[in-house]
Amino acid sequence: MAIDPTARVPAAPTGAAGTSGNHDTPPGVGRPGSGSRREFLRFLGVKVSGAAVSLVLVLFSAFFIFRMIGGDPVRAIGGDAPMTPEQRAEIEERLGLNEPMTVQFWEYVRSLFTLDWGTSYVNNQQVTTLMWDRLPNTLLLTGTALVLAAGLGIWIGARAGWRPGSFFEKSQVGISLALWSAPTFWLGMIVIIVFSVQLGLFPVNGMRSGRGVADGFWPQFLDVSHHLVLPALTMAAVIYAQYVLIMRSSILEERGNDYLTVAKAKGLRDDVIRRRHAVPNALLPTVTLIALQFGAIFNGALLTETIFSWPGLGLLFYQAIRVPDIPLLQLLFVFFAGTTILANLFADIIYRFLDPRVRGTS
Amino acid sequence: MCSSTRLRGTRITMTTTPDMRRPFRLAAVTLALTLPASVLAAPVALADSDETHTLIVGTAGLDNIPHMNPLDSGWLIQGELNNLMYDPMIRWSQDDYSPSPGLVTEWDFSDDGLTWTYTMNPDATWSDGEPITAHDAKFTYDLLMENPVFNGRHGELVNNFTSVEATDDHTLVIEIEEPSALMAHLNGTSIMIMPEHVWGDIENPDEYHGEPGQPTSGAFELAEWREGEFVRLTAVEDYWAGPVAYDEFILQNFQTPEAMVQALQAGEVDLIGNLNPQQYAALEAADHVTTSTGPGRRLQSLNFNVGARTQDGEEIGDGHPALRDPAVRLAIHHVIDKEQLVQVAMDGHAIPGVSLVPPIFSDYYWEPGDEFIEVSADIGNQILDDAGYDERNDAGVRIDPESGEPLEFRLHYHSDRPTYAIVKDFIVDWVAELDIVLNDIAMDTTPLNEAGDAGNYDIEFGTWNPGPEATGTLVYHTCDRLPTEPEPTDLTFAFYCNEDYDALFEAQLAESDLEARSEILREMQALLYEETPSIQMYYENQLEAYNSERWTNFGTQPSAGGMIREQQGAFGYEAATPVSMDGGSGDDATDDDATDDDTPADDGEPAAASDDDGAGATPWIIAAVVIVVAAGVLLFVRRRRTADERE
Repeated sequence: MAIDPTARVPAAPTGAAGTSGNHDTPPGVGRPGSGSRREFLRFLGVKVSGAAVSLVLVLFSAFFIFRMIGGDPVRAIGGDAPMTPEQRAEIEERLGLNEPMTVQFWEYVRSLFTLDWGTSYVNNQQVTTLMWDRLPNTLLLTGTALVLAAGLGIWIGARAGWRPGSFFEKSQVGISLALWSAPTFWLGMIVIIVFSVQLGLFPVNGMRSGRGVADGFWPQFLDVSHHLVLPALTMAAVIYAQYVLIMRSSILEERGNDYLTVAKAKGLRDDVIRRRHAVPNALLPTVTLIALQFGAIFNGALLTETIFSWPGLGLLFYQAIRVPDIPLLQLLFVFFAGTTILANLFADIIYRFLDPRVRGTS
Repeated sequence: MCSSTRLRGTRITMTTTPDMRRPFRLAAVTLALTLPASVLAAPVALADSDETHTLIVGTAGLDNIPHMNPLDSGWLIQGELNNLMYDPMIRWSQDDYSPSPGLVTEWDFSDDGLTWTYTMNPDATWSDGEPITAHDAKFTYDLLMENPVFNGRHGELVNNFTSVEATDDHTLVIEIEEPSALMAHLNGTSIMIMPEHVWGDIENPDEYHGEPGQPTSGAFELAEWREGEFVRLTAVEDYWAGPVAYDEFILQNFQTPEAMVQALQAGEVDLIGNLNPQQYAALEAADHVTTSTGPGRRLQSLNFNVGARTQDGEEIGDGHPALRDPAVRLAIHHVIDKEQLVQVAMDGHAIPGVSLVPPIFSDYYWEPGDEFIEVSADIGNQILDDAGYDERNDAGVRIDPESGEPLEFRLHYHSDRPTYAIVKDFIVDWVAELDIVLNDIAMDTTPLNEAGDAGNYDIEFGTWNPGPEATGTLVYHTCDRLPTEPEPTDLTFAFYCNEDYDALFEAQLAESDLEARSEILREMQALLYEETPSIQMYYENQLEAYNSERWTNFGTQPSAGGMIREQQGAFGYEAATPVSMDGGSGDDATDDDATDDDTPADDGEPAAASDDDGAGATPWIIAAVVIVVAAGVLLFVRRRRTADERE
């Protein structure tokens, strides 16, 4: 009877035990005992097998999808100069393009088991090497952008939802939606013109300066950080609206709850009620979004990377599809789809741990 | 009890918590400010370490190149890099593209034109100090004859060789089967000589990818190639033909031309080319940027399907039968106002087209003179009437008397080339004056090329970069270039075949006398102009711009008002001089422009880079101060508000 609803939520992020979600089980929801463990295993089985089926479909479609889009890799390899039929035949043989489609398909299936994804049509390197080389660059860009977007979006969304109808809410939701709707390539160019050309604050292109950077960790670190600012901000500007909207609507839902009234009755400051009581409860959907986006950080940011010539996986994909460099496209497609599927699976599972209500209803 | 709890809770919140949190918050704010500030400050710190001179050239398409094997180069950019790292046997001169000494100082041929003797420059050395000898040349030509990949690229020249001998270190003798005009230049910059003492040990030279630090014969060595990003070359200090005036050359890749333009304005790259007229006009107004334009070699064409077929005459594709008639093509030629196209498409930065050889190759260029095809719909209509196309259908479109089909042609244009979208509207309107209908169809480049190769088109847009050796371009209209099997091919232009033309082609190839050969080449161009398998709309000027606060003295080819990039050689880059080292001896145009744009130099110590960066530090400092002040204000306001709430 004297339950303090405010205690239902982990009081602060420092409460490590709070992350397990077990200590704050609301009435009516059983703790995971042997019965619920079985239920959990069944849940896990369903989710994992669903993910596995998706992955298999992805693996097969990767073979067909890039052969259906057309294009002539032989011409792309030959260069500007036209080729004799002999040259063309030589390249086709080297790439294995003269083989019947069935043979190519079995080669592909074999490569799935041997994990040998082949060599790039263009530069004869292992496609896995190309991918691993670019992956850290992508993680740096998309990871930074995700942190910025999530941090900013949650902060704005929480404040906007807390004071619905206020100028802050209207203006911030409007701004974030406008940025969400802006084409990335256009926004990127505007950002470049303003911050690089007019103000001269940041470099236009790439990840490293061509000249004037001393050897050593710190000069290189500063140079890369300097190049990172605009692409990361551009990408964050485009995606942070998702967090704003989800956080805002979650907070709106929480606002009428009794535990907040109780907290208010206790005399807590408005800010504290929002920050310590409402926000942690409202964070759940946002956590799911972050988990989903976690997959996206591996996928690169095709448009952002292309505009800023950021040498990540998105740019690699763009470069590959112009050829089309089929072995590289296959690997990237499977990697992108695979990480997304795994991130979805991860989101499903952690959501169950984080939100007892899901456990109760599933 | 409850009340006490509330009070205690409230008290804790009011007093202890903010106090305890303050250091953390301050630390967080400090960190948040320090990190961006350090990032903002980075360029200032970086500029101090800028002691080497690096010429950075922005380009698109660097990610296309599969490798940097100099003997298997199909891309223009590969050619550009080869020119920086290797010297050919015979160069195309900077003045007028005529053959001039490279690794070879002089050459001569026997009376029958079948034995050619080349004398190598005894001073020429590889960058590792080894001499460049006739043995290196023999090794390379043998490789081109024996290796199928290399032979695919260079067979046109070397398959005519019967023997290649180095009679001593400096004398190379080549015997050939048929007299060939190509021997007078050995295909110029298309073929580079490789060091036998290194390449002799490479097991599969066609798999050579481009290794840093390999000995070269040119002004630069490869230092680093980050694929899809940039290529970095370092200058050879004791380059035998005279080292360049700077330390490094970087070719930096850009995905979009717009970003490249912005990078030039921001001072990140020093030279860019292949601008469109709008970008060029915008850069003309920019500070510290000097624009440069000169006649280029890229030509824009309209290609007809003159009857796609195999060498045996088997028809392929679905071209309109009326376009096999030269009268129809000539009539269309009469309504294409090339002067106007130059204005609308290139803002005047182009030369109206005539034939496949652009005017910069003055030895072979043909002036139409009296044979000029006048722009006149009346003449076009008269030609069609005289040729029997005088019947019209209900829609008023002329009818082909032989097939009975209306003269309604497909016009394929590239959807990714905005200029074509403008040009095609004019062409459709002009051709309509002949009572001929053009249905314009936008296509991606790949399907457009595929349709063209298979003969599945009527008229298509096309572009071509002719080299200084006219044979390499004119061969595309010979009957030999028709496919032997009914399969797609990109080796022919327009599927044209004319025995008279072929006879002239063979004659010029066997002619060693330059004047006599030029006459034949001009005759061939006249024939193409009249028969019109293609309409050459215009030759684009090369539109370029560079940072004239940093660089001067770029060499152009031709030397009088030519282009800097995409040369047949590396004159443009090799002559470039950092302004800080120029000492006032730059070329006139550059000096004038640089002076106009320059901020006053204090003491003759130009150091454009450091001056520029020094001035550039001010906004950084202002920005850092603004951020700190803003953060302070924010904290203050926040404290005030918290105080209010406490009360």
